[in-house]
Amino acid sequence: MMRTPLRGVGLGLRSDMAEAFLERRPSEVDFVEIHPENYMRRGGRFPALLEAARRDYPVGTHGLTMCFGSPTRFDDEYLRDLRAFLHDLDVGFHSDHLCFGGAHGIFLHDLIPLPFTEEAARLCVSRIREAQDALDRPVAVENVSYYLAQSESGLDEAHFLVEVLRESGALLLLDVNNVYVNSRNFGFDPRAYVDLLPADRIAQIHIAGHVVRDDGLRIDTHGEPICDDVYDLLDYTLGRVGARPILLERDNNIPSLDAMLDEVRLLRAILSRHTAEDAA
Amino acid sequence: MTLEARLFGMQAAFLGPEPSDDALAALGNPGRLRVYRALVRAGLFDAVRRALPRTVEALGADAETLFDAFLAEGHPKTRYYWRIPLELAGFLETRLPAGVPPHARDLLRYESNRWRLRNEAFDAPPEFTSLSFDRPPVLTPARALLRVGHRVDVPGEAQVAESRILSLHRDRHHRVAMLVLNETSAALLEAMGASPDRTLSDIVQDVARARGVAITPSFIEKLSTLLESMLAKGLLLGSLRAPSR
Repeated sequence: MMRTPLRGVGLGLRSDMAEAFLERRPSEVDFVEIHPENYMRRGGRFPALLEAARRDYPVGTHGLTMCFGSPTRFDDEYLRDLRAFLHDLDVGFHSDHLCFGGAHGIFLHDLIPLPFTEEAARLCVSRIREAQDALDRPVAVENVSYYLAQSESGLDEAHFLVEVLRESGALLLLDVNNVYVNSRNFGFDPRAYVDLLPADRIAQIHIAGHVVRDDGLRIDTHGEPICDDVYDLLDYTLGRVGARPILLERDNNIPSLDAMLDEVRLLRAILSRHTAEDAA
Repeated sequence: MTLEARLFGMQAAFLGPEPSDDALAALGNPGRLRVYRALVRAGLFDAVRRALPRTVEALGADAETLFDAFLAEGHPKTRYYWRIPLELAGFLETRLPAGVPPHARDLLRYESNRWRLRNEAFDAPPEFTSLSFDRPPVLTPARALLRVGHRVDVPGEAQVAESRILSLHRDRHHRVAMLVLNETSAALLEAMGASPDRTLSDIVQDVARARGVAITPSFIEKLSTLLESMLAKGLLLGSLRAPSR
């Protein structure tokens, strides 16, 4: 069966806005992304929402709990269920985060950063390979934001990421807001970070808003509009790696659908410049 | 410190009792680790607040103390964020201290059951056809029967003490619907759920006999009204389809 590739600008389908979104079916949005954990083993309105989304849009999947840096065994039953779920949706790849999310059967439901060490890279590579085999499709890893120094230099994260990608064969889901947040929190050049990444591995881009606390610490909340600097970093990234599907994440403080579509249109304008460049 | 020790240490620091700066310093910057501790706990508590808002309000300051105990002793063990309130409800079932407002226990059961019915996947019901007294009745599997001591189903009246039997179920539109039942109606519903092979006629006679209720025209009229209501609301789906020959 032909897997539908993701193209253009997508929107994270969150339950707070899913019904309004699917009723309106805005043409500005090219695809939607779901978290499998929000639909698997779930009843009520959720199976119908997913079915409606599939009918009208290509659907991508982005996991929350495989967290490739957790030093405990995967739950085999969950991997089997996830494989069946992804097979049913026929997604081209599945993404999850390069982080720690809990161990020994406990889930923190948050993305805890890993130290940028060889030991952590080996752990991630091993688990990514295991996940790719179990899910029978490519896996993309997402760089996370962090608020706790994980090394001497912020750019060590990019080297860590490149090492994991090279050894595991994984794709990269590049979150440009996370790169920006980390660059401001830890004082490095976000463009230099992007320059280090292998362009041919970047399967998709995530973008979102963040908050700046009174003490200056930036927190990746997915609850604010995208700031201008992050739009600029997106523009720079696409200029370097070429057009890629972009996904707008908005998980908290969800505004009106019109407000989100305004952001989608801005993203489309940026993407279209680079799509035209690629065609030329 | 090994990677495992560091990660397990962070997990314990985020879920366990408030750690000291010295304990956190072994893992990294104590101030930033406290940022993570706050983010993790706020994210988990938000799931509870969304699902059980009236329970949280009724428990007041105890809500956070009890949630702390859940994180430290019960731990969030589900990968499904929407199931966290159900895990908490299970943990608290036998642990709500005597000092909490008396209606809080009923609210917890009421709200957590509503959340479960809204969200859980249930097995499909067996094949059914229109209701007949000569066939076993088929109920929706997404249902719960609660006996509570307060008017928790009435907004603003949860503190009013009153014995109530509430039948909750997920309807065809994925909403949670409710019937307030008397003891005989509740016994009938329980018998329907517990006796999948008995005909509706047998179930009605069993319940009437057990409760010492005479099957009079008045009883039959009330029974018809109840069955119509259960059918209209989607609690009772019909009668088990006869096996094809």
